[in-house]
Amino acid sequence: MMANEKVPAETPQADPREASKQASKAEGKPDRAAKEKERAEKVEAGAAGHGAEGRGTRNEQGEATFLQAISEALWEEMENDDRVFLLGEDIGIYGGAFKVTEGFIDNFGAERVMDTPICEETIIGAAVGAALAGMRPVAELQYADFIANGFDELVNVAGKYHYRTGHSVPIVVRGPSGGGVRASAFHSQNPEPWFAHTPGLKVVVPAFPYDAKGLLKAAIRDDNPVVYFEHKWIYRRIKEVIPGPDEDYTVPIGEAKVHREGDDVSVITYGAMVHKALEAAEELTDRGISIEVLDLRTVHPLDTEAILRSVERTSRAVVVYESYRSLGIGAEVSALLAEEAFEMLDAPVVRLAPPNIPVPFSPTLEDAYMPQVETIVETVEKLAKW
Amino acid sequence: MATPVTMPQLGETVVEGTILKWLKGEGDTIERDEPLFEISTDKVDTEVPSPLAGKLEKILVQEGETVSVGTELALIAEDGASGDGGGAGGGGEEAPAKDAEEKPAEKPEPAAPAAKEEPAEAEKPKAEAVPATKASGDGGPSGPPRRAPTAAPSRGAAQRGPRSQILSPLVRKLADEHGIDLGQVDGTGTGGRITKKDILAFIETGAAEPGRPRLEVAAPGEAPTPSAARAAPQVVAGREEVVPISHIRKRIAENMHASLQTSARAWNLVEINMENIVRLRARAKDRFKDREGFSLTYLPFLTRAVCDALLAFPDVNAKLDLEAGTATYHGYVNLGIAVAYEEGLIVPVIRRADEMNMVGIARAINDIAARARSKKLTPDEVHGGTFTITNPGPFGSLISVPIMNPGETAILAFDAIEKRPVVIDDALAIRHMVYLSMSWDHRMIDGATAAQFLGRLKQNLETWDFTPEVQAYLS
Repeated sequence: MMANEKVPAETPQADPREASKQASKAEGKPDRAAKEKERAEKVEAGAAGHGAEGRGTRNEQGEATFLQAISEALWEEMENDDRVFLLGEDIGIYGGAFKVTEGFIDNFGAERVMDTPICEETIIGAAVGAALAGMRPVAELQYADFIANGFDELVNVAGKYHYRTGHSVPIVVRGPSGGGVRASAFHSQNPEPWFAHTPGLKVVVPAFPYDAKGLLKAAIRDDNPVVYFEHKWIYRRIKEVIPGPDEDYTVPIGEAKVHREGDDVSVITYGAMVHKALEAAEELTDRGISIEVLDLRTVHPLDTEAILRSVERTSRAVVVYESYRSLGIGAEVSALLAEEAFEMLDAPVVRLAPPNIPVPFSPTLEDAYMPQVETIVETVEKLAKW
Repeated sequence: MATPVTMPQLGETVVEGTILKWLKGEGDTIERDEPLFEISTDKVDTEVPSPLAGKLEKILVQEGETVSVGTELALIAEDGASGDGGGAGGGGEEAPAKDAEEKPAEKPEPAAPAAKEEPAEAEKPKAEAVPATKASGDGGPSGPPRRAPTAAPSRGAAQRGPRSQILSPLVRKLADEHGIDLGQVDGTGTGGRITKKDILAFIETGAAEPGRPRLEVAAPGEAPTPSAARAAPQVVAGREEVVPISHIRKRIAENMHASLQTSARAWNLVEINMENIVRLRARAKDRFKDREGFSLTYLPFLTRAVCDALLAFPDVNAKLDLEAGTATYHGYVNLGIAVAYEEGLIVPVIRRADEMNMVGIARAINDIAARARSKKLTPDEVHGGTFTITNPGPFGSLISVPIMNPGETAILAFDAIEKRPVVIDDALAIRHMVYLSMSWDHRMIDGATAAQFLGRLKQNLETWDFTPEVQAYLS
């Protein structure tokens, strides 16, 4: 079973449609598709074991990838605060399955960048203990899917400790989540609803490098346990210019962000789906439909004000999310709108999410399973005309 | 390809209708504008013509069912001619050849077997769509061309789709806040649903009038009089039969009851010597009938006299709104004439009757009564009255106590004219006499006004010389 965890870092991007879409998105960078393909092949070459390419550094324009932004946040927080340390599987010498902590052990030493046994219960349990002893641990899960192994420590110990004893448990449990990378049912899940349902935990799912860095710093500084999911599809695809080490900033947990204003339909989403929604927005504009893309950024606690504000304007909402459809974040947002915004609604609230089945391995099936730009366009168009 | 026929919007405030009768059965062919079904709304019963020619493929709403405006009622498969495929005449055209018979085939026949008229038929089906001039028997040739309401929405009413009645919480709220009659709003959502944008656009145009009354009561002004033509239910001797009442019966019942509940009804009667008018009419009626195509009745004489009296006593031609504490005086006479027909009673309105001469009124009454009986009235023709005349005389009634049409101050009953012994200059004489009685709303006027009004009416009818008005018809 553990061998499964050694599945390559980022799994390949074999779908040519996906690649061409990326290419068309990259303005003035015609070589992007080629680069994408090259990288995909590299990762695929190492599929039997570790083989992810290095994390790399910001490009000449100063843009950081999502992956680099997360790494920068960890690095800066460790430099600023001695209590911050990392623990997880292969995060030290190997630099992490996705290379988030590449080079960390050389700078901070093995005591602050701890390689652990392959046992999530221990990783999270140890983090809870260290936090109670005054430290600010950041635990890495190689894949978010394996958080289930540490479930009890998180929901029953970390989440309830403060309520039971008055002691805060300032831990961050972070890990790569999400699908669309051909990694099948054990390496593609979006476990955020499990923890959004649980009292005592904050759950953060950023979509952009800026937010990823600012939110991770905020999570580390937060006295509550924070679960932080980083979508692996975004890791190396999305980059932007973000502040460096000399410009300390945080993004407050619990605040959503409007990435694009619109009048006809609110698309409420988070994680990788934000990018699909933004792409869909372009196509919908061509069809005369203006959508507002609201990135939740934090799925618990929800920014209910931002949601209501947006729907007050558009009167129509579709919630796009990648976790299983039933009892996901979409269910919560829909319920909120039904309770608080009934008289603002001009159409039913719609959920667009995968069905309640495990993420398929077959690329064709996985594409059909996940919300795509086309399905968002289709759903929004129907809703706009309702 | 089948095209749905939907429940038409017959008037601004009509939201639903009842199918009274299908005039065609499934499988029947139908011409465009040929009557397809009869409906009853809260305003009017009417025949609805087919919007297109073809075959009635399926009836979706059965007789007796009440459905909202825009509901699909039936499917009509369009004529073969509109299909895209049939070039070489391979299809089985079963279209009747009568159309072709009526018109000489102007087009040179293609080199086809002689007997077949089909090509000519197929080439010009649309352009020649024959208007259904199916005048109902009693037709008055002099009247304006009869235009039955078509299945298309009537002027002023909004576009309706099958989903036009699905109202989102937001739309309901906005309509409520702005006092909007949603029947006026075009729905651009799927299936004609009214969206937020539609309603905001409607508000933008200033079309919304806060506090606009929703339902104009438009039903008749008195209890129905028996009609010989009326189809009686099958009643078996010695047994009881429970039957559902008709839509129109229900509306009459509600309106009459509402009128009594909201008015303070009082009543006066005058007796009028009609001798001069009876004699004048006797001299004019034959040529009148020859020239106009219908009989000259006493009603036009009465109407002329009534319009004068109404202008002299504007209180009688006014509308009281006790809640608002206002009275609305109408500077015109929209005269309601109660007409008995098979299903009950209806009160079509002659607009601006005070502007018409007697022949004009005679024609208007004849036209509107004929169309009421053949159910060809448009909904806008049955409301907006300011005063009503009911005419039970032909049935032999001597004295009537009618109920006011809600919203009007008075109703006049014109009973039977008959010879009676009367005292004239201290001598007994035989004269044509009539009792004119009026029910009136004591909230709006008092006995003095009512009596003076009737006195004026009596004076007009007994002293006016109507000769010039019918000069052309005198023999």
